[in-house]
Amino acid sequence: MAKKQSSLINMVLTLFVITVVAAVALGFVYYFTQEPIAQVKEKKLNEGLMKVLPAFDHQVAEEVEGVPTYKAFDANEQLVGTAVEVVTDKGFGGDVKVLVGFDTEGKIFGYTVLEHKETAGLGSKMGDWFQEGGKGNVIGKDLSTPAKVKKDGGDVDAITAATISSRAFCDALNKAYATYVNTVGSCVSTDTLIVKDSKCCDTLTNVSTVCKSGENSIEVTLKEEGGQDNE
Amino acid sequence: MNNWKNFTKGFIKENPVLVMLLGCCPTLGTTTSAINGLSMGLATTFVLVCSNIVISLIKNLIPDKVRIPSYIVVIASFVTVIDLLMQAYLPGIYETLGLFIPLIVVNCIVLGRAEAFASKNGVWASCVDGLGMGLGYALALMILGAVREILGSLSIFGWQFIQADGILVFVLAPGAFFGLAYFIAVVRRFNK
Repeated sequence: MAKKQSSLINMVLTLFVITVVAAVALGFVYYFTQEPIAQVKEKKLNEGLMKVLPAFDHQVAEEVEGVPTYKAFDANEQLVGTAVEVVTDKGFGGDVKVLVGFDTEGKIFGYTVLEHKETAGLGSKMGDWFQEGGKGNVIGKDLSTPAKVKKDGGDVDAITAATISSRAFCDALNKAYATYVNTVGSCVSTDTLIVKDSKCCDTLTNVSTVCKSGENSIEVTLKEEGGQDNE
Repeated sequence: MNNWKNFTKGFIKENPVLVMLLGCCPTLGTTTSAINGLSMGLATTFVLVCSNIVISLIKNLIPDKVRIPSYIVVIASFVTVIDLLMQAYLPGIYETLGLFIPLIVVNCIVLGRAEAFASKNGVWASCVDGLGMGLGYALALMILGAVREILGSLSIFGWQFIQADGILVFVLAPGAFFGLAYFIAVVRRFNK
């Protein structure tokens, strides 16, 4: 078969046909992989939640000021922990996405790095470094004093030769804690009910649905007080 | 030229990375470990074989003046397909390689083979050529990745044989240049 002439109509037609065929083929593949991809993402998230939270029965996903949070309840509808999915742009190679789990007292129960583009062999160690048994263990830490690497006057051991990645990680922890305080800060523990900042009052409607059973009544009174203050 | 020659030339004689010096960007970027290099090589092989087959099939339907954009559309489509498939079925590998998969589109090897071979040869020969070139590329990447992994993190295919820190620079970008340079020198010595 002879080669087609490079006339205008030939060129336009060829490119048009090729792009249409390619578009249809891609649409087809996208359609068929959409569901598996969504499943993979969900599975990954669930596995992450299992890692960073105490054993739980079911979880409720919620967006707090655009930050996804997951509240875990046991079989008796008792809150056992909260996980916050944060993104920090302070990483060495780009955004770092971390899932941080807090227990009911606001201490870090666990974390897992969901996405990062840190240097392989250096910053990429952050997935293990800060875990329990790792050199920079942060598990069980109370973040009411923000996490900082030792170089910046904090008490977190930075990854060797990857201080920037470690700073990014601390930033992620602090961001996660801020979100955590915003959502459930006021019912961190039943006897010391502290409204950590004014934003809390806006989210108290959420809080009363979050703190189930015994704590519920306390929240309601707080909410009324908040209302009076505003008047 | 017979098919066997077409197949084997990609490994040593015309190895895309080591002799033709094509596709150096993914070579330097992905070879931080043996498994990363191998996966990247295999993903490229898939795209190379598919695009070679399609391009050799449609080569006579494409006017010369628009052949490059046509090839790029074909290649980019296959890259997107493998990107989606990996996301769906190989999430573990996608996590480490996801960043580099879209780069296969601009990998010179794929377009180079389309232009130099598939646009002049039949379907079967093009398929064999793509497979040979792709596997040669994968092999080179795997060896380079293995060397960097052994020196840089004292492990091979993820298995740590000494519990210590390796020579860090081999995991970083400069180490990729060192490794590739020595690799090319050795291959050239024996290729003469």
